[in-house]
Amino acid sequence: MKATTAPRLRDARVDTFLDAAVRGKGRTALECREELSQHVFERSRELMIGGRSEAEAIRVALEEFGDVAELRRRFDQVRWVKVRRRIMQISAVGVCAAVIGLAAMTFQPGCNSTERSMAKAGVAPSDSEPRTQFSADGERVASTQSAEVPQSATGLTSTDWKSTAPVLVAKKGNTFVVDRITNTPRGTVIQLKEVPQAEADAKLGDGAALPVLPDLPLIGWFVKPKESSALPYEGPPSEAPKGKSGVEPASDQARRIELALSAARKAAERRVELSALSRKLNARSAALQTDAQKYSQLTRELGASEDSYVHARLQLSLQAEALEKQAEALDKAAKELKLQREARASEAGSSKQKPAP
Amino acid sequence: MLGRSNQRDSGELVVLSLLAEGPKYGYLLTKQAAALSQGQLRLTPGVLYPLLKALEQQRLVTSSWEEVKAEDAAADEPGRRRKWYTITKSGVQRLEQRVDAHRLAQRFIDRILSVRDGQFGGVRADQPGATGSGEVHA
Repeated sequence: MKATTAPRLRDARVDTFLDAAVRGKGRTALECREELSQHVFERSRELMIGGRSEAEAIRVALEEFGDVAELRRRFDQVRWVKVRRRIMQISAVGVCAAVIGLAAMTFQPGCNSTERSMAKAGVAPSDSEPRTQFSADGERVASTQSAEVPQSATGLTSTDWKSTAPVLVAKKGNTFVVDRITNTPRGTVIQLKEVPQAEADAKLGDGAALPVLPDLPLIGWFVKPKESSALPYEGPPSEAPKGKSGVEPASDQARRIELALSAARKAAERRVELSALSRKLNARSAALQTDAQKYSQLTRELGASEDSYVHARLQLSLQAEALEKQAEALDKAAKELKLQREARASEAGSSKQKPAP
Repeated sequence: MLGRSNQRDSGELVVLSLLAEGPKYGYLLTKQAAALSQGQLRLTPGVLYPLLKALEQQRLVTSSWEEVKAEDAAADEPGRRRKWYTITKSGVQRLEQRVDAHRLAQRFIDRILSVRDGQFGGVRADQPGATGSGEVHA
C-alpha cells in the first residue's frame, strides 16, 4: 500500500471520537479503542483509494459509526453485564466466606471472641476443654491442660478470699490450691495448682484452708503475666501487704473477682446464644445457597429453552394453519360435491320431463 | 417476539454465520456482509463492535491480535494491530439454533403474507421466493 493512500496513524478527531465512545482506561478499554481505531484507519484508507481526501475520508469513516452516545451506551451495556456477573460471583464467595468464618470463630475450641473477652476480664474459660492461655492484654500465648478447672463460677465470695490461704477447692475428684497470686496492670492473676488429695486433706487438717465444698465451682485465671510488668507480690492473699504499695487489698481483689465472675457468666450465656445463632445462620445460609443453585439452574434452563420455545411455538402455529387449510379444502370439496349432485339431480329431472320422441 | 431482541438476534445470526466460514476481523465482517447482500445489508460498526464484544463475553467467539505493518514501514516501527475473531463450539451451536428459528420465522411470515394476499390454499405461483409447505391444497 502506498503511503499516500494511508491516513495518518494519529488524528485529533479520531482521538476525540474514541474518548467519547469508550469509557475507562483499563486494558479492555484500550484494546477496544485500538480496534475501533484500526477500523477507522482501514475504512478511511479505502475511501482515500476511492479518491477522497484524508480529512473527508476520516469524517465519513467516523460518521458511519452513527451516534457516538449510542455507541457508548451499547458498550456500557455489555460491560455492565460483565460487571453484574462478577458482582454476583464475588457476593456468593463473600457470603460463603463470612459463614465459614463465623462458624469457625464460634466452634473453634479455645479461640473465640467470648474467651478473649473473658481473658481480658481476667477470667479463664469455663468449660472442661483444654485451656488456652492468654496474656494480660488478651493475646493467646499457649494452650495448656495443666489444670482442670471446674465449670462455671458461682459461690466464691469475697469472704472466701479474705479468710485464709491457701484456698483449697475441689470438684469431681480434682483438688486445687492457689499457687500464685499476681497483680498485673490489667488485673489480678491467680494460678491454680492441682494437688494430691492427701496433701489437700493435710491442709484441711491444719485448719488453714477453706473447707472443700463439693459443689463449689471455681474459675481459674491462667493469664500469663507480662514480663515487663512488675510483680510486686507473689504469694497467698493473706500475706499480701496492704496500703499503697502496689498490691490491692484482698477485699478489692475479691470484688474484682466477683465482677469478673459475673462477666464470665454473662459471657458464657452470650456464647451459648451466639452458638445457637450461628447454627441458625448456617442452616439459613445452606438453604439460601440451595435456593441460589436452583435459581441459577432454572435460569440456565430457561435461557437454553428460549429458542426451543420459539421453535415449538412456530411449529404449532404452522400445524394449526395447515389444519385450517385442510378444513377449508374439505369444505370446498364438499361444496363441489354438493354442486355436482345438484347438477346431476337437475339433469335427471330434466330428462324425466322431456317427452320421449 | 419481534422488536429489539429480534434485531439483536439478526445481527448475531449474520456475524456468527460469517465467522463460521473462518476467522475474521471487524472491518472484514462489514465488508463481507455488504458484499454478500449486494449492499442491502449494512452492518454498521456502531452495532458490530458492541455485538462482537458481547459475543466474546458469552464465549461464543474468541479473539486474537495480529500485527499489521504497512509496506513502506520501517522494520522497527510499531505496526497497527487487528483483532481477529474465531467462532467457538458454543458459537456454532448458537448459530444452529438461530438458523432454525430464523427459517421457521421466515416460513411463518410467508404464511401470514399469503393469507394477506388471499391465498389460503398456498402461496401465489408468481410470488418470487415463495416457499410451499407441502400441505394439502384444494
